[in-house]
Amino acid sequence: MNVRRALGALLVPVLAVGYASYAWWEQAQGAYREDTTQYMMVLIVPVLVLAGVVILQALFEALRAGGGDAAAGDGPRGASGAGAADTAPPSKDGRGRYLRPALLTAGALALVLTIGRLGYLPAFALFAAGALLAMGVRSAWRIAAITAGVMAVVHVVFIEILDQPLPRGLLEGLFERGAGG
Amino acid sequence: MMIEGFHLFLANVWVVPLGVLLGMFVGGMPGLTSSGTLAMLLPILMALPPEIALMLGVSMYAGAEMGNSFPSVMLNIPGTPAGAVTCFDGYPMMLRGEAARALGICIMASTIGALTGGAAAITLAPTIALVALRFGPAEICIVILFGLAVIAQLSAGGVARGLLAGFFGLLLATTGTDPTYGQFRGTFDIVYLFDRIPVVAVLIGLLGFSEVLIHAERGFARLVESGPGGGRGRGGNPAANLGWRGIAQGFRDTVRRPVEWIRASAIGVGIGAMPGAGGSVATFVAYQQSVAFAPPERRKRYGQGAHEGLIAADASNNAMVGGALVPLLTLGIPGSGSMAVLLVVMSYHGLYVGPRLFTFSGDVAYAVLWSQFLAAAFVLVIGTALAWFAWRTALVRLAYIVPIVSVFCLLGGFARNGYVFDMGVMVVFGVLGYVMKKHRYPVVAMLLGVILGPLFEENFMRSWRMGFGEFDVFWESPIALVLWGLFAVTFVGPPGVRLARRLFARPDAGGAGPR
Repeated sequence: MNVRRALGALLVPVLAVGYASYAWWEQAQGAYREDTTQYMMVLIVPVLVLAGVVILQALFEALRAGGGDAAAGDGPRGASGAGAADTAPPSKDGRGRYLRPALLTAGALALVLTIGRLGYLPAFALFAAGALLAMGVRSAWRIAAITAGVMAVVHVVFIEILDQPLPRGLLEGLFERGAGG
Repeated sequence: MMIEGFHLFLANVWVVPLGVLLGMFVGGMPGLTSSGTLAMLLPILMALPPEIALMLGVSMYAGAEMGNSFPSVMLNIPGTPAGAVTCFDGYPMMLRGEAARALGICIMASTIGALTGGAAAITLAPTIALVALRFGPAEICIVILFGLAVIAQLSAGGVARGLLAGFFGLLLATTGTDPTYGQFRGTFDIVYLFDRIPVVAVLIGLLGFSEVLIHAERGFARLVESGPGGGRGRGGNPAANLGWRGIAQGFRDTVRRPVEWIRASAIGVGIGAMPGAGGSVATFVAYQQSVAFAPPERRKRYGQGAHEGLIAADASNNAMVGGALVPLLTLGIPGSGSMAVLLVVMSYHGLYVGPRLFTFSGDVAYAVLWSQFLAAAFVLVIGTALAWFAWRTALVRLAYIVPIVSVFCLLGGFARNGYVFDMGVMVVFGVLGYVMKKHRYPVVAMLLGVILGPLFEENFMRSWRMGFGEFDVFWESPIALVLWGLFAVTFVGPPGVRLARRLFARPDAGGAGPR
């Protein structure tokens, strides 16, 4: 568990190295001006150096954790510093701990992919109802009431008042306002 | 002219509460900014007489700077980029069961900041404008690096993780069109990234959606289960200390820390007066300065609900409004996006834009300056009334909050540009923020990089060109040297002092462990 946690810390430096490498490759390939390339290097070099340091730190932590150091555990996540809510509150039950965030993310991505076809009202209604179910709400009338409330707020505030061009999809022509998106 | 301006202000006083209320609504909606809304209202502002249009605009701006504290404290979703710093300490306070107290601090700090900004603008306008103009591009770059370094220093995961997050943010901010030569960079050939990475979507993802995912782990629990008092009900649950009592406690907490709000307000006015620097820089620098001046034992509380941090963020944010008016009215240079819209209104109405505004249309200029004081009073009144309702969010079960806030995160991601793509960006950065928080990377450092990256690049390139490709320009001016000195003291000072203490500590000095 601790080794997994230590290795999980590698994700951010790996992403940073990946993006920095892409930026470097792009600058090398494209016909960019010299000062643009130099500015990019001013950022890329520290990213690569710092990512190297953090990767070494994470590997060292993983080795230590693998050696039986149980200090990390689920983590002293409290001292967040400027990260404000860097603190992840402890989970009450282990079962749904990662399942619920995963379901929520999947639902949000599904909404992004389908909102153009479905339209904002059906897409947000399905998302809200699904998220409530995923969070453990089982009362049908509560799910219906909250979903209806969310849809009403979305429509009144974002369409009627703020005139946001949310995609209408299946509801094309039903409301006068809103654009195709 | 000042008296005539006051009469003009009194004749149109009704517009101020309207502007503050509208501004609070705009500031409280993630994804909506005061500058964007003012731009949308431009046709109306142009139809109104210039004094009413400008007073409405300034009141809205003041309301928005306060309004963004509500979602920042209650949901960890900043209404505007400048509100991100309010999240650092406001949200942990809310989690601790001190939502009303946090909102009270925000309201009072905002009011004091707005009053200070107004007083500074009406009395010191010409002097401030001259000093602010001495801050060249190199100095602005140093200020940004300064903020980044301090945020990294505060990171629970260590300085290396903090700096990596910050520089990664600066690198991500280069995505889009090169501001100097117009070439596309880091876009992966995605047309939606040609403009630049959608900052509001990144902001909501890193701060808001990531927090939603963390809370989703807790299932059916409440946002605040119990506070210092433990249990629910009057006197036990922190909710009992909410309402008026909690808000009033927040007022007292702020008033009792004059050093904090004076320093933060001064920073807000100064940075607001710097053309192009904006509220995000003001809040980050004020927060960083608050941390730098705090004693070591109190410094540990920053990011975990330190009252001083919250005061710094909100006082500077609102003082910045008065500061931003200075270059607009004295030099015709807008200090922020909202001021740029007001500049358009001024020129449309044929007001003299530049140093002679006070000569030709002094009554209008002074009416606008006077309106800030009433706006500050309405920030207090309307803000308190709204806070009385807002704290109740903390007692709702997460199972209901998480889906609703997720919907607003998605809408917030969409609202700025109107692209569904931005919703996807928000989700991706939400997941990244979730992973970062789990592994003690400061999301705020990355956010600072992404928000201030374009400003940093623009000023870096300008300095570089001014220095003919040499870096000497970054330490030539006295202001730059002072800033580097402060940078060194802030960044190298604490570890240096710790090292010196360790080196010079006597072995028989009472044991090494904490008492």
